[in-house]
Amino acid sequence: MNGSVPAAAPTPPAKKDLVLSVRGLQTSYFTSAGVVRAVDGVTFDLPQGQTLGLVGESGSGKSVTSLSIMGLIDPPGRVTGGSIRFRGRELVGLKPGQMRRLRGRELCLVFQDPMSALNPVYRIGTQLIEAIRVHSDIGYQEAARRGVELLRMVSMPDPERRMMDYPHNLSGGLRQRVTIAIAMANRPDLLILDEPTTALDVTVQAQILDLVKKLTGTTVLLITHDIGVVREMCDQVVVMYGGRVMEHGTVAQITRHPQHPYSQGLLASIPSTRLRGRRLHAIRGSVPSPLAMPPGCPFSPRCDRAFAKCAEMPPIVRQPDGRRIACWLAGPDLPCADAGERENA
Amino acid sequence: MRDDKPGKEPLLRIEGLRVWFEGERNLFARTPPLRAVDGVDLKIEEGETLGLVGESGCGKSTLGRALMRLEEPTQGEIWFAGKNLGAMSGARLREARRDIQMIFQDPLSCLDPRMKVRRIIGEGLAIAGIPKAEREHLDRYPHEFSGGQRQRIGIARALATRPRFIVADEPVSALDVSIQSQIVNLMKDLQAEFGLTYLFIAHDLGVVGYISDRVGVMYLGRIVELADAEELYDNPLMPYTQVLLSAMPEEEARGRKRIIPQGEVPSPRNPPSGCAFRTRCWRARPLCAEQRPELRELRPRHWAACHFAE
Repeated sequence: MNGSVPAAAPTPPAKKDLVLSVRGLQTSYFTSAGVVRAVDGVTFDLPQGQTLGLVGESGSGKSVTSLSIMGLIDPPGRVTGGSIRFRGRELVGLKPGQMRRLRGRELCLVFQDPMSALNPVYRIGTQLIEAIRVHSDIGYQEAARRGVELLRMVSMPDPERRMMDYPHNLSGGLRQRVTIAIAMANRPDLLILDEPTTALDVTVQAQILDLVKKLTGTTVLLITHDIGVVREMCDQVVVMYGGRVMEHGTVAQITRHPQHPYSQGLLASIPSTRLRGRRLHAIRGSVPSPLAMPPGCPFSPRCDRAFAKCAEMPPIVRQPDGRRIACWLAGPDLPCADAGERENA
Repeated sequence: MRDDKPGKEPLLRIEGLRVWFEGERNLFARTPPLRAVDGVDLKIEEGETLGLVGESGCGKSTLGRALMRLEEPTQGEIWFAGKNLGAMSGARLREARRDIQMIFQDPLSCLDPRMKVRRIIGEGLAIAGIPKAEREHLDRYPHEFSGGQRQRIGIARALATRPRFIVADEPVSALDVSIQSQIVNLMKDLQAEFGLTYLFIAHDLGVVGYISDRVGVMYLGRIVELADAEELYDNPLMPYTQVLLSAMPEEEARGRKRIIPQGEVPSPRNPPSGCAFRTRCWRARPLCAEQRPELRELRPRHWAACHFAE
């Protein structure tokens, strides 16, 4: 099993191509009920021009990961460990002012609910123009022209007139186009989309996904719970559970041949016409409370293949095919894992 | 298998159902009525699951609520087990309604937050497969439960009256995938055990295609296509259904070409004349504006409302 790593594997490319490099990220919330490690030891690299999907259910830590990258963790939460390098520059510990200059220009985040990102009392045009001018030194007229151009880029019908509209005049799909236009206003190096289509109807979702695919060259971190969206959009996938990375590989590896019991269970749970007449796979139990995470593998209480060793947290190890997996079944104690490299214990 | 012998009365029969919400009418404004459901005929056989899909605002939830008489029909008849629900009121309606129950997307909204689970459901818990050891839950309040558990309570509450027919309005769309499959399995088990009939309303085409025997597609208040689930997903005849199915993520990867419709859904206050989809349809011709297409049986058990579908 000591073969060469296939080209498709998520091997770390040359350092200069990396837009984002997250190492052992740990974000904790200090609540009156105790300390919650919402993100615990998350590691991944995102090379230039790729789309990485961060998948998981509620409470998996996927959104907290994106907020940590954006420097938007509010007390009682705090990034308590690890490193986030953006184009080689360390973001953890950056002063709020420095972070603010990066945010909106080089790093942009689009939320699920566009209404929460748009100011209801300002016209679309005003908000677009402000977003453009805050980070660049151009005049109002020029910014207005760029704004119309951006709306046209996100396929907004009748962009000149839409500049005069208020957010409530637009449908959900059009509003999300506006937030993507604002995010793209300064051609960010990294676009983070947090469940961008979850609140939208399926035909509108298709339009937005199409739009994101057309933003070629943009590096995208896509946070979603929808495996279908991942299959359509992503180059690589990180599966999270209980604040930890369970499995990380190419989209084909994760969605066609998942190896972690959790990824396998998740994929087998998705209903479709092809599964008619067969019983759906159900992962038993429910996500444990973040205050009462089991000491070892967070998935072990729900895992059909859990054994004694799972009371200890398995390290994430690289497999011969390039994927990374945190499971004792794929762990260093099994013969196939000799080729595996231990990353962090 | 269901039989389709003519003359056999289905469990539920809707004829010409319209639910319009009156618009504002005063000195300054005369808003036309919102046509949430605009002429629906539908039969649901005992023991089957009829899936209803469509995008937000298409009227699928209003249709479900109208069956419960939670919305007053503007026009049309609802026959349940041979009785005209529309003509009932008071005690007789309450009695008939015992046979029809509803499951909601957000169980918290239908569970009284101040009531202990014991009062909300009583015996329903056992029916919904919550083991005896866990009946201690009876003395807890709805907010103390996770989303999946709440939906189980919502189902248990619905089952407490031993209904024959359940309207499930987006019952799993607020749940995580791993919990969603538990609830879907539970609903299938309960159907097998109690011979339940479901109207399963959802926007997720995957779940609907999995659980339903037949699927109806709604657009602007009308059913535009109705067929057995596999037939509908394999051979959509109405252009809107084709749009909807092609929009499912990853369908493109599977070889179905994505059709992006023009424009947006028209307002249900002012629907287009003729075929409601014609303003966005690539096959539209003058006839579509003049004449409203009726549902026609174009293939065995496959109905579509389109002048040009064959």
